[in-house]
Amino acid sequence: MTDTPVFEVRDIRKDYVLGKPGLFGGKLRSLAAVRDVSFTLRRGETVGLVGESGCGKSSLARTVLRLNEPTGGEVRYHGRNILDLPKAEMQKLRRHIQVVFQDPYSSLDPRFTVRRILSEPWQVFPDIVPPARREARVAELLTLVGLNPSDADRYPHQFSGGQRQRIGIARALALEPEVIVCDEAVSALDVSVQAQVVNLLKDLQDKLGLAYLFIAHDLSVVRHISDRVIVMYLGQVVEEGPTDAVFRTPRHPYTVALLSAVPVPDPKQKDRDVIVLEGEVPNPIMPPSGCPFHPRCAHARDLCRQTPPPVREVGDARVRCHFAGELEPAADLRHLAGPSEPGDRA
Amino acid sequence: MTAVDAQTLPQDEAHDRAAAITSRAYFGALMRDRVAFVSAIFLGLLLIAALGADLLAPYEPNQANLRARFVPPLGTARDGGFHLLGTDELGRDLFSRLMHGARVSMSIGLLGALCSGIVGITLGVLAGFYRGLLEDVLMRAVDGMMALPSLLIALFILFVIGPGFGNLILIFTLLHWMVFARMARSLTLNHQQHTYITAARAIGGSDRRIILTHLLPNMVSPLIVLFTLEIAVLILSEASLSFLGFGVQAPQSSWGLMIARGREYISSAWWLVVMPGAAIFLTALALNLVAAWARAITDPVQRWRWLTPPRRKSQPIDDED
Amino acid sequence: MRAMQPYETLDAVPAPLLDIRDLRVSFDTPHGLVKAVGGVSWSLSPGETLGIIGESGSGKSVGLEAIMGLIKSPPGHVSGQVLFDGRDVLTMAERDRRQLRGEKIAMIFQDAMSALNPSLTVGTQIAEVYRLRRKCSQAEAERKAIELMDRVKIPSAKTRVGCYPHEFSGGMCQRVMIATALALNPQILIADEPTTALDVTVQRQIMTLLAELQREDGMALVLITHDLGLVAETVDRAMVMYAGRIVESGPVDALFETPTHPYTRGLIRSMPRLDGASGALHAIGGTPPAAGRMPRGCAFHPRCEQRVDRCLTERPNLRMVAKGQAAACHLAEETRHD
Repeated sequence: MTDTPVFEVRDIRKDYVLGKPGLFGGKLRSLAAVRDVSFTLRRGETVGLVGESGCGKSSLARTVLRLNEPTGGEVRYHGRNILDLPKAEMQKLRRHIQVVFQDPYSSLDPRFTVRRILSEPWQVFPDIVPPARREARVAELLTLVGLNPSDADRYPHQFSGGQRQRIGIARALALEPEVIVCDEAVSALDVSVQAQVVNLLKDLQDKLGLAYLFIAHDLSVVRHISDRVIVMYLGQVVEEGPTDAVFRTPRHPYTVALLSAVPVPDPKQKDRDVIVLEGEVPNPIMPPSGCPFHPRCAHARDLCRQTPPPVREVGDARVRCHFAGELEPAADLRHLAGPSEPGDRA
Repeated sequence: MTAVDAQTLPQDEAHDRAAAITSRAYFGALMRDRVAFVSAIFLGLLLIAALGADLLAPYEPNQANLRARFVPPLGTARDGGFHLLGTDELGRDLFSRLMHGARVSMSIGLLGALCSGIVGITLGVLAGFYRGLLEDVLMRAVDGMMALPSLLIALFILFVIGPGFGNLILIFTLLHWMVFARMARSLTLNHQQHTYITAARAIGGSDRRIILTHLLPNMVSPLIVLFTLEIAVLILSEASLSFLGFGVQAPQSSWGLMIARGREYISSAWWLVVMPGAAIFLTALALNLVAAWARAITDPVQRWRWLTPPRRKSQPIDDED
Repeated sequence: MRAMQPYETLDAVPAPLLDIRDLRVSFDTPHGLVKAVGGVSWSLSPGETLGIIGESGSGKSVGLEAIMGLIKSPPGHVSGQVLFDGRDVLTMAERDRRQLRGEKIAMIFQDAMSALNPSLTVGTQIAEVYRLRRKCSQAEAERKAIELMDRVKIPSAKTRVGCYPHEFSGGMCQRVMIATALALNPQILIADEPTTALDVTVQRQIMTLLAELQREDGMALVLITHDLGLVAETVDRAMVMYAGRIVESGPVDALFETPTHPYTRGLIRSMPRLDGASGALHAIGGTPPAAGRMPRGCAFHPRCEQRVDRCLTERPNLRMVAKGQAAACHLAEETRHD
């Protein structure tokens, strides 16, 4: 891992305006889907992004890819702010920042053969692979993602979900990018197939030095693949830090609740105390005052209801909580501690 | 990594055959679908009849023959002439007139649907793709135009610019593009939800590229169906206009005009209405059936059904038990 | 609570409430007859919690649909026996079966949002079955709906009984589904991936709710899921399905402690863990066979690392390998304690 940041996101913000102004004006309501999120991606590094639906992680993905225009902030690729780039230049830059989508069924054009899907990027960027080499390159890409070169003439519907996801990854790799945003890239897959794709992503990272922004709601997968992790709640980062630190000693009450809620595949731990969060994620149109998590937080005090918490540095992690580092987690988190028997994981 | 390598399962032969599809395979598939095959033959014959009417028609279409008035289908006139589909009030051979009328009706239907389709689809796709003001304006225009009494407008415009083939096509384009625009817009909105459109954008594809290579090809199927339906609608619209004297001008004739004229005699000579009516109906039906077939055969997900010979039902295909 | 049950045989010992014997389901397709479930037998005692684990296409949902009598024939073919309280569900009249479906066995699905009718209020939908069966008045039905909504902990039930599904979140919709299922106090609740579409914290709420309801009513719960974590935490006994058959079954502690079938082992090892034991995940290579393309012999053999020649030709039967634990693998005894 070298230290040059490939990709830097600074205080990015995305507001959605709801509805259109009426005939007689009237106040527009807006929704802050992403609020001042910052992170840095280095070569060969994976930043995991977790949170529940509505926390803004997908908006963030689309925004840093500039598939949606952000409301504010900066996205720097090798130090250059890509948000200022005119449309044509941005299109050229896209080859360096690719994306793998969640749904392996709708992300491939059903009328295209695999060959056409993989070579389409080269029609946009003809310089990457000269026409004479394309045939061979398609075969290389297919082999790289664990498919058979003879699959090139088949159509997406002839593949299973996991295989389609491999095609999606191959398409992203066709442009030889430096950064890949994995937007719930393994969420739709079955467990055994998911493991294959996770291993593939790690493997490709080692080979090609890719940087991943890995967005998922599955904490175990994020734990497994990420070097650093960001936990989002209602559009804000509530905790951020090295994966080990965040998962072993979560500081934000929301992170604690989230980690506590994950079912653990070990019947011996089924009697552990679990935090069952009350209520649901509040409506982002009308976020709660003060700390957005306070209505569901067991530790909430008056301060939390009135004042938005600052970001505090606790150890290696940065936590957005008034009492970060001062609270004892209310849950039994022994399932996070480490393998219960060191040998049971062959 | 070795454990991860996906082993390729034995591939389904049907799928493989579907992948490498040739024109011969298309023809074979057409032969197998009997309904589509018959429809295609019908359309082929119709085309030959329309193009070669001058040579092939048994009678001169505008030749009045008072000794052969109102001969019923399969009847023989007093002068000994056999008339397959009978004759009209002036003794003109219906079959020959249908052949000549096919030329006008088919070209009005096809050209009218094509022009309104091009205009409507272009506007609809742009509206759905770019949204915003363009969409608002366009869709209000569509709503407005759909509310207008189209026949009245057509009559008014034709009264001003005068009747004729070209003007008819112009009117039809003006009055029918909305149907295509509305459908194209909703299809565009629908397909944009698919991530492959976003994926195309993420690899740096331009709007033009996304529309032409991803959006339109995936919208073709329902648009083809609409297109064939519109052809039938236009053939009938032309009939109404011609009936009112603003469409095709005699001695030229069309199926619609023939129905219009024949209506006076419907109680005594039913074939004057039924025969051209049947021609319109059968043409529209055949177009639809062929379109349905074409839609399926161009869809990679469905086409194997047409390209594989049917298997016996209830024949187990797993090798167990 | 009733986890302490002796597992003398494959079936639970007390008179089973539901007894499935050699259930087979197949479908006519243009390609020929495709088997979805091939010869599955299991039983369920009153109040028991049974887990059915399987990936997509393993036949876990189709089997349950067959039990509910929801498979249309043609194109479906169902054979075997499904005994509820000694009566065969498959041979009874459709009317009786409907009765059974409403009153004795209820089902909830993964996508609650689309399982609810968007144009009816949730109150109407919750009380619908109750009104049909108990022939009660509109007012009474509404009271019942509110009562049920309270039971599944939908806040301010009185005011929300008139809401429409789109006004509810995914988790709330699932609660509505559960309320609907509970209306007639069923003896068995079949939950088909009930929390797959939900967030972790909401999933925790729903599973806690289900456990509570089960404790109160003593109904049996069949949990169909691909999530091993959920199974480990929720059920007493579990079955693992692969390619339409049971490959392993047993008490959940034993399944996780000494998984015997290579597929079960593979599944457990391929799960990334929260405790951060790192290294490559032990993925199972290949993909599950597509319906209608079943390999000969053991369906798992193309993906199995320990296969021997026998696996290619001969299908292993499910047999006891330990107290209460059964596996369908030729090498079960040899590899069990590796």
